[in-house]
Amino acid sequence: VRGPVKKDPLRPIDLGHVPPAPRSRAAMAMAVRAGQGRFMLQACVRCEAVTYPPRDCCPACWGALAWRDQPQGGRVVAQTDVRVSADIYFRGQMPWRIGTVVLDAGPVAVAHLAEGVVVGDPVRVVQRLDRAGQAAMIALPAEGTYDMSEDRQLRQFTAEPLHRRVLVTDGPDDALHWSGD
Amino acid sequence: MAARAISDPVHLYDCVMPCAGAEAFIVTTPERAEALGLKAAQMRGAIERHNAPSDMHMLQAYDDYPVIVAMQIEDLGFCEKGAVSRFIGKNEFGMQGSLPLNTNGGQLSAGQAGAAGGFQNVTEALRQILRMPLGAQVPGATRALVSGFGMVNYDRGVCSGAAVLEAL
Repeated sequence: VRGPVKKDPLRPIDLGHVPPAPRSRAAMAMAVRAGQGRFMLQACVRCEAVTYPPRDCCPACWGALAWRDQPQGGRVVAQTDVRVSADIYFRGQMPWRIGTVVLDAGPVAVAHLAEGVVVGDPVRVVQRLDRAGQAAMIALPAEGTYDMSEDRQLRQFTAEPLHRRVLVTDGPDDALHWSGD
Repeated sequence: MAARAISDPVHLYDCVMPCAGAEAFIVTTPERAEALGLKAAQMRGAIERHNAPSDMHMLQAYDDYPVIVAMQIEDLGFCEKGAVSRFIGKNEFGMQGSLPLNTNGGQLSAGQAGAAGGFQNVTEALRQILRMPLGAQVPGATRALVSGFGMVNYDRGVCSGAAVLEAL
């Protein structure tokens, strides 16, 4: 198993910072859908224009918006390596690759880039929850399956336990069989 | 150009520096301004995208990064989309130039005073067309194009606006 290199025991431990969390009500609605593993964007019920980032009404005609499943294809038109960040979470993750993706669904989105994805590449865009529980756009190679747990950057969006500390509890037996209220 | 990279190709001195600051101007009627003996200007309305504004005496464009100024030059219609590098090569942007640009040095020189940064360009445009500059004067200027550009990270995307100010 490739996995990340084991932590240098002399290095200070990760303090568990999370990315910036405050969002609008509309963006929280996207996080709910991203958490369900879906790729949904708002579309206007009147003019059908698809919009991103999440808004309260259609920027083309002011019509009402509804969440719709969308095609996940796209193409990277710009990329950058963020090398310095004022944010305490990203400061510990530099450099961080992001890019601008023209979505087949219509809008243009800033997305986290998978290793090796560069300008001009066709991509498959997924929405995942970041460590703050907010929806994030991630551009993966268009073809094949991509293991985000083996990507230095995108591993942050997974719960892969390899090389991570886990908390083992001796919770009551019924907690293990909890099936929801 | 040799400064450390912040987010390629943007380097340290391409980034606006935070500062403290404030500014103000009075919004009133031309009649009241005249009664008070104040110089006045009028907003000639927002311009439509891609209407070549060839009769502007200056451009005051929001400048948090140089690339943002370049984007505004294109989208305000000074040149075709994608042709801004040629436009920059062909024009002079100083006080005597073909398009005086951010005549007080803009935020990239003065700093970004939080929300006050949004009116920095309006204030400088007023100072120029009302002949009360803090520094050099654009000769004969009576009309200014002011442009704003902003973005809220992680959420609301880009907002922009532009207005033409003309001395009364």
